[in-house]
Amino acid sequence: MTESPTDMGLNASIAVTSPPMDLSQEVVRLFDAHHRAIFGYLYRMVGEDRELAEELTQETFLKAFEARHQLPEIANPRAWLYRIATNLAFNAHKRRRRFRWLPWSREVETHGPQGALQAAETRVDLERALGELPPSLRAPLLLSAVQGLSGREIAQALGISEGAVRTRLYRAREQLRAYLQDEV
Amino acid sequence: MFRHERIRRALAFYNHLPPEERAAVDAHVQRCQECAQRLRAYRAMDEALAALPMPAPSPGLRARFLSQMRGLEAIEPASSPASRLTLARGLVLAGLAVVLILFWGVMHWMSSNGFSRPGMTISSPSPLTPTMMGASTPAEQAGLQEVPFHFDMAQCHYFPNAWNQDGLVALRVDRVLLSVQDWDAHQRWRVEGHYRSAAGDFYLSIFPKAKDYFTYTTQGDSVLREGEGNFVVEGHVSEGTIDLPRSFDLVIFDQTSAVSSMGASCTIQIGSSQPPTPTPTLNPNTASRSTGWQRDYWKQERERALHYAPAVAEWIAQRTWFTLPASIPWDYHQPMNNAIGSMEMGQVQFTYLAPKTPFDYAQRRLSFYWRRGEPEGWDDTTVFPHKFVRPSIDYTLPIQERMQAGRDLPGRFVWSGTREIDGWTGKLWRRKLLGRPDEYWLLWHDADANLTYVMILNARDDSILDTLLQDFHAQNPDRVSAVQQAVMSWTDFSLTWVPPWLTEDLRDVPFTFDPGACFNPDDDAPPPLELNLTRLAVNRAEDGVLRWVLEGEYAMTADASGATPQILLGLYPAHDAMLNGGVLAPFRTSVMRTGVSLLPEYRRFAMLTEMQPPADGSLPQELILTIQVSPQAPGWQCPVRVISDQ
Repeated sequence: MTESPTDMGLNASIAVTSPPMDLSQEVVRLFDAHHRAIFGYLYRMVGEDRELAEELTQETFLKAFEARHQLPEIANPRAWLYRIATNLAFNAHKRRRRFRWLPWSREVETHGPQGALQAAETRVDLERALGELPPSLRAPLLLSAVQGLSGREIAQALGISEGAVRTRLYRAREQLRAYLQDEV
Repeated sequence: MFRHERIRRALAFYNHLPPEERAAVDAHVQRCQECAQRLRAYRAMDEALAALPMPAPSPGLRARFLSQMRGLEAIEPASSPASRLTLARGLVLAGLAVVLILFWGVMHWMSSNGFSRPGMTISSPSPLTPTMMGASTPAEQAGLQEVPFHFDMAQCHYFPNAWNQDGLVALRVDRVLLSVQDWDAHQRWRVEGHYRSAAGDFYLSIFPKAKDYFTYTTQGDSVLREGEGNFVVEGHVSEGTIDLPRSFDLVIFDQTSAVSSMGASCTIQIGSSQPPTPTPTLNPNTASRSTGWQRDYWKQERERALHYAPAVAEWIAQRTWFTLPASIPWDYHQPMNNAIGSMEMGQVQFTYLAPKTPFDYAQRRLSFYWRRGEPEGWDDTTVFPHKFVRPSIDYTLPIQERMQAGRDLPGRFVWSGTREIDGWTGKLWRRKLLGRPDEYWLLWHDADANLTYVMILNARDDSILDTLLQDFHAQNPDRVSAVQQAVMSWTDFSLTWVPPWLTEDLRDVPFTFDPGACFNPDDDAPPPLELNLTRLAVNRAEDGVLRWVLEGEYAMTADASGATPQILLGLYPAHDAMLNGGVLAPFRTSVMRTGVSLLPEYRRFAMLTEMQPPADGSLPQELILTIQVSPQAPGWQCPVRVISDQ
């Protein structure tokens, strides 16, 4: 999922400090521009739990709203939003860690059209493999491959250096590859 | 010239490379078959990831966000940084408003004390007839009762520059009504009054004056059209079944501003004429955000447990029960999502997972409605047609305290044997909840009526279960008090609590542990704590699950900034881990629960880990103790080797 072409315009408009912007309205504009992408990101980050993703999406923008007075100083609101969302996703993950449940059965039924089944298997394998990645690796991979953030934006969103983003992307891809090869 | 290995790593972030680096990589890839293949694989991976189906958020998300945003706006102090920017300008306007308000307040006071009101332009039709859009035909709710209140427009807080406050010149609240039904998790509030608008239209909404309550207006915001008329605004408040809000904000929105339209917020105080006092914050999403997450978490859990203790005891005393259609396959532990109601009628909502593909499961909901003595039927969608029961999708508590459903393990949650209650023999189930008391489910089947009965009660330990089984109707005040005490003690388990029923027949296991062997793929430094393991014990109960108890001592060391890190310990079987290029990959875990938070003020810990045994049923010979400092970093992995006693 990629951001709309208006993102850059949004970024630019945020940096303007005069005349004073209606910050609440700006948060609503950010919501309208980004909430689908943020939801999609959180959906993958929290293990495809739609309700939780929605709850965290809402919380992301409520936190942005509460911190809206910072907006005029924020150069890249999109990265800022992803940072809030990432922190929320990590927090949700931390709470879940206390209860780790068994993985679902991996038994394969072989009926059905072979092509469709294989496609479904590939997709499900990929989703499962993604879910196996720790959040610290899943986040940069999603932000890069799905959300289309630049390296710098990913670094801002995760609060790490660009070098660390590279390291994590490499590690994430290798683990994903290893997992998928192992599955096959 | 980049070396091959470095290029190979750079392929993982090819899209983020600056042009000069990318050119070097391209040149290498043209010569290197392996790298070309890897780059293609990475691109295919990106395409596959981008092509994964993505559901859209529900259409109501925006409305919920705006509603919550307005609620936050309504309870924000006037001196927030944003409002300070415009305070000076607002003061000028506010001065004008004060004159008007004082004038109106005097008129109102005279009115309420029987004075005649010469020249007053607000008419007072009787009986009150709503004239506004949205709330023009409010449904009469059974049990609506008037509650005493205090309202004074002089107490309104005006948001500087947010609206033309001269437009709405008078607002009067005539009645505040409340309906609380025992079958409904919501309080229904209605505020009726009168207004006069000199210019423009306005919206009205009510919000409880605390973040803990979640409110929504059921029939849209009331619109105050230019001119004069009555208004009715209704709001449903959830999470309010224990305490009633002590005050509300009657919030006036300016229709001419599409979004951040907060105009003014006027306090309606319930019950007395004293100034409103803040309600304690319980919401873990909003409380104490700035301090350490673990300490906050447990502090909030304790707050929550204490807060709910009387209700839990009362719930047990009420003997919550209902019937289910006999056809429901109770092969899984069904995670209950929400339950409201009483013995007479109510609703319970489950979230469960149904097979969608051989690999995939879809999350579905199943709602039961019941009326005393007979099943009301069931509905596996999120449509709630029952006329007495409202859906609780927006009910925040079960969302915050959701549980994850795992694959069913035969017998895992079922006690051995059966339990008898009121002459019926049934199975007893136990469901684990995060941050809340576990639930016991007693299910029994009446073959004659072909009905399955279910009774739910909260419990954390056997004393509560005994309270149920031995004193089913829980009329004994001592027992209720004991339950309350038990509830209050739940919150201490982060470091020391291990449920007694899990630790029967624990067998101490000799082991070796070398803190120096701890390994962190991201950090060469040793773990930020001194750690000594003192006991490792294991049992295998009739459900086949291995339960490890690990005890030890620790001393946390401060980092360079002098802060003490937050640390989470976990325990995993080594056979469960996947070694990938010398780095332990995420555990494909058979661990159902593990972990303990280490707090700086303690020195000892005890933790419980439940896991499936290896496929051959043997006892794992090596465990991995994980030390997690940041959720964003891999942390340390320390081997704990079991000394075989074979």
